[in-house]
Amino acid sequence: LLSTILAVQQKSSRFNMTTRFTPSSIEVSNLARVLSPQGRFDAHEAPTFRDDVAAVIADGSKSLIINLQDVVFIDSTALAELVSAQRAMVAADGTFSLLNPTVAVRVILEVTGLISVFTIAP
Amino acid sequence: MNATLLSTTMESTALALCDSPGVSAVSIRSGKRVKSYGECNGVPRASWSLGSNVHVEVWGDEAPAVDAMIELARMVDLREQEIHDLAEALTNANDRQIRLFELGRLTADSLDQIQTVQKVLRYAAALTDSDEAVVLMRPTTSEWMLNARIETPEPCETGWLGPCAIDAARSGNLRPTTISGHRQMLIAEVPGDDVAYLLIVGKTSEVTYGTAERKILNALAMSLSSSLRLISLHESTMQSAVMENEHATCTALTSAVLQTSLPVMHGIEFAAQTVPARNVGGDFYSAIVADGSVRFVVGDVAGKGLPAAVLMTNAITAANYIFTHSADPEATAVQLLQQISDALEPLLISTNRFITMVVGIAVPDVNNPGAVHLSMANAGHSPVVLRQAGVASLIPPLSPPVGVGHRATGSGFCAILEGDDSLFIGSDGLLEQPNNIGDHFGQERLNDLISQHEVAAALVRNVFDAVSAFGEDQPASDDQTVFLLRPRHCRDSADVEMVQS
Repeated sequence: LLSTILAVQQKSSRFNMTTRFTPSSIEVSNLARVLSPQGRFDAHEAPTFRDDVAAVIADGSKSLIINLQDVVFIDSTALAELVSAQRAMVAADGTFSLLNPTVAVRVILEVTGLISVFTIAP
Repeated sequence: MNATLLSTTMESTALALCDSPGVSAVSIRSGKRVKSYGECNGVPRASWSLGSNVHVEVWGDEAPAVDAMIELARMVDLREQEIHDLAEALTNANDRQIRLFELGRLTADSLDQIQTVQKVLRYAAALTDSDEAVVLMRPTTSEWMLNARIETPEPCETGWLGPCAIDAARSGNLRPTTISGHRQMLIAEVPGDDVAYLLIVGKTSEVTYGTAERKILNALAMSLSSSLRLISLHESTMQSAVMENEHATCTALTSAVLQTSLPVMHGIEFAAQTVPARNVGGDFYSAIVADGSVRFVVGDVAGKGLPAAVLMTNAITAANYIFTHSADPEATAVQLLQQISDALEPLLISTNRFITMVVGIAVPDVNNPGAVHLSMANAGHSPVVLRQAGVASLIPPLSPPVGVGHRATGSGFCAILEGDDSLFIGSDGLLEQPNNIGDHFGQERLNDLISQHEVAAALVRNVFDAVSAFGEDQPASDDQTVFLLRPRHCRDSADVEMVQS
């Protein structure tokens, strides 16, 4: 997983971030996928995120990374989606991790206690 | 016959005859009016009467005069036939105009689809002089099928149109068609969204359908399309109204579980308020007096609206039951949180939701009136602010929210509130309230408000007023809740005695 995360960090400058969830899935290894929400990650984005996660699981991917480096705000609905995505990946014998949460996101993860629930890097 | 027109026709014909070789004069008498052309002297060579009104006489050589009379009679007969045909055509056009006028009122008088289709079919058959009319329909993923059919009272031949129309629809040939013998078929597409329709008329006749019939059928197809859209719109509006009514009922039912007043307990002062972002929300609070203490819960279901509200009712029901029926009267706040979590966890996991909540127990100190012993377990809720000796501090979570799958462990948080100390529990909707330039209300502004030395109810009002004023024109992005607990100051010896008792 660490090598996958490092690969994502190295490739992150080449991500196409024209819209909030595009590209919805970036292959960084044979089995890992990355979703990169941007801006406000809230109830409006939750259905798209849920669909993208479902597509990743249906694709047979065994590692899902959520790159949060461009998320400026996250609400409880989006947090619930992250918890749900992690649960779904674990049920599919996969791994789930958060990457580069911004200060705003990290604070929310701390005050809700969810920081102990996720694998977060760095 | 139009006598004036006939007379005029004969006059012009007679005038032309005067110039014919062998014809010296012509006289035409129509009623009392006589018109002569040439010298009408002596006995006329020939005469001819049309009914009792018109009488014609011709002078000149005998043979040309007879020929002239025959020519005149032929001309009159011809004009008579033309006038008759013209009158009949005018009558038919007038009848059609009346039917088309009635057609214009077709869309407004019924919202029943079967009745409307049947009416259009009757008009289609009548206005196109057809024996039979049918409507075919094709749902999005299905084949063409017969939707409705009518035949005129005295048809030449019927029953063949439906099968022939389906064959034509499947082949995509929608042009006017002669099937076999004298069977004629005319097809018009009915514009629609999800379901495609075809309006088709047929007759057994030597006379083929013309441009007029085609235009009339297209107009009827457009009319049918409008009617079907109107009916569909009406049905969806009715469904929306039913759903709105059910939503309002659910809103009332879920709102009913929220406490309208908090319990009264000597030595403790409460105030609380929750304002949903929509009609109903997922924020909640509850406080119950049990075993000489106040057990309370303040929570926030992830998400908004009715789904969050339904889970909120489950959370309140579970908390209130556990508060009042807990087997162990000495149960700690952490133990109460664990019991509530155990009750809600399966439902929350199956619905992919979680609930942040604070569970607390407040007990007035009988040996120290004006002091309250407080113990709490915070499952991911924020903001939870304890103000002691003028200093505000955030109470960190003991565990992640309920529904995440992590059970709360440990001893929770304990404190003694005295004097102006207070416990303030809000919801994230307060901190996330945006203003017109996109700033959020934030924790610092909230801390300033909590420092005010107001009575609990006034302080709660002040918080909501300040958040509302900060938000300017911006609607609340999330449910907002305030729950405030502080020691009640004893004002006289009687109060002290009541607290001690």
